[in-house]
Amino acid sequence: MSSPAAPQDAGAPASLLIFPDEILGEIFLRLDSADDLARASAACTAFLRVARFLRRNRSLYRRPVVGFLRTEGLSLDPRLNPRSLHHAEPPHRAASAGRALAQLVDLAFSFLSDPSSWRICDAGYGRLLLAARTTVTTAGFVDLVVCDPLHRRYVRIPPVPDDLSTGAFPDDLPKGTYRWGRFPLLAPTGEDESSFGVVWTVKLDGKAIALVFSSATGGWCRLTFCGLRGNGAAMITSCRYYAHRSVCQTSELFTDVLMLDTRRMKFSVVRIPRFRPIRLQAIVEAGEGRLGLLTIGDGMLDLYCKAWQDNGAGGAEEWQHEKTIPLPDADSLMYTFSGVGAGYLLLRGFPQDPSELASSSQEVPKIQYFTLEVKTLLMERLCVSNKCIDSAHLYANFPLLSLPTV
Amino acid sequence: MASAGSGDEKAAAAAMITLISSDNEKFEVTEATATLSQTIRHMIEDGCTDGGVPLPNVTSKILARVIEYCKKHATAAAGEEGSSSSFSDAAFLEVDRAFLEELEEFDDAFLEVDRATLFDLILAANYLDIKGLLNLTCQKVADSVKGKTPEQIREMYNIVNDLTPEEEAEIRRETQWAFE
Repeated sequence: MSSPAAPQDAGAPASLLIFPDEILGEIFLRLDSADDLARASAACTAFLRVARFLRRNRSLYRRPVVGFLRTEGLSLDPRLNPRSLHHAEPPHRAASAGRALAQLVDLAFSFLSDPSSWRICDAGYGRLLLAARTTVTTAGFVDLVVCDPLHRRYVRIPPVPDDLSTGAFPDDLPKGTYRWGRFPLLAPTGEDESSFGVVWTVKLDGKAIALVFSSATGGWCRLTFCGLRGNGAAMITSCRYYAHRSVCQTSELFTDVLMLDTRRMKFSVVRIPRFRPIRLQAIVEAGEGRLGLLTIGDGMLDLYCKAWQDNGAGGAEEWQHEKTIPLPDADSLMYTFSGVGAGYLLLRGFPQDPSELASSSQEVPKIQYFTLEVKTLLMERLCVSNKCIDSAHLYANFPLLSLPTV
Repeated sequence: MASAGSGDEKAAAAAMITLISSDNEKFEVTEATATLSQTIRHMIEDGCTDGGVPLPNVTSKILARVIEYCKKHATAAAGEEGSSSSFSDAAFLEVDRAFLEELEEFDDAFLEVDRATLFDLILAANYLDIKGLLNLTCQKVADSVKGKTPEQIREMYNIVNDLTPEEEAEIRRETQWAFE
């Protein structure tokens, strides 16, 4: 389609370099694939400069899910069990990106002074949140680091100031030993993706506390929510679901879900329906100010939606059933939610017939992992593995032509 | 808005604007045509169009093409405004669609120009701030780059590779998948 060098007006054919950066930007914005932008950026310095500018300011040129990382508990020792990026495999469209990225990221964290003393707590936008396995600061929170494993860089998150952590511990437990009921999370802080947030959520009897660090300001602030019903200390947080700009926490024992909107810095409680027989549930941000509730049961996936109310009252508006989709190979696979991030859910399909699994531990990988795009309910098989991963961080939206993210 | 049928420019004919190209050629256009350019719209709003609007960055050859585009699309805009008033029956929508198809054909034909002209149109669309024209012309260039390697892009657009080998290696490392 490129105009064959038809009669040019005079001399050399017009070069794209006559354009100022703003026009090159207009042109590059109209390339609809990340691959095209990447190749164009390798043509000359002006193109590279413009492509990087677009990358910083637009979320268009991002890869969706390329793979996932296993959630790490305190006991998992990466020296015995080396980390790997479980990446997309053909025919998934992110297969080549996934394979390339898996080779490039340094998941041994050799760029950190004591690589084996960290565990992965969260992932997003090319960043990983790492928590120290052992060292507990005087304020009772472990050290945190945000790293970019592609560029092998990291920043240390300053400790939570003492005045902010007051009351963030049960009175009968000595400071410095208490870890239960607190989770560090990564949170995007708004339109500008060059900054990030780190959130400690703390649950205590009847209240929840969020301590939020912003890389933009370099400081911590605190948010307390006192309307938490039930015995907070006994609450089991099974999953942390957040998509886009919100962080939500849910519990399998209670139908009230405490949600934290990290953009507006607001807690609210959302009531979710109980299903009998029990169905697996996941709560996600469904876009347009709505919450989505996904459930799995009888080989089907159901999506319910409701407006995300600000007032924290919850319950008044009922969830509306929106869609049902059949899960692939539902008669032979048992599905669970394994992770969430960037508008996607990770689903794991486990063979229903245990004998099939037994053989798989030797040679043939049989556990299938799928991504589900929340907006479209498009389900795609990401990879097949012989590793059974209960909980994972989706590795998605990593920046293209990235400047280091930390 | 005008209650008269679309395409009737009687009302608009009253307000004419004179555009003056860099080589001093004068073009008389309706206000509706001229205000497809945000730059000119602002000048009209500020009341500084008496005696003509000098456009020192646009040659007469390019300005003539730009006006051709604006005339066609100004009619389209007027048609759209008319349709939003009270017509909503199927017959009217049918006419609308035919018109949109015609507009698309016009755009395709409009883009049949040599590269130097295309680039001049982009510069003019940017300077005059004509969203539709900028979109159309930039998309044409973007489409020509799709699927091409850096080498092909350089050759096509007469670009000298001024990246250091280190920079080039780093881009390739970060974006390996795009080169497979």
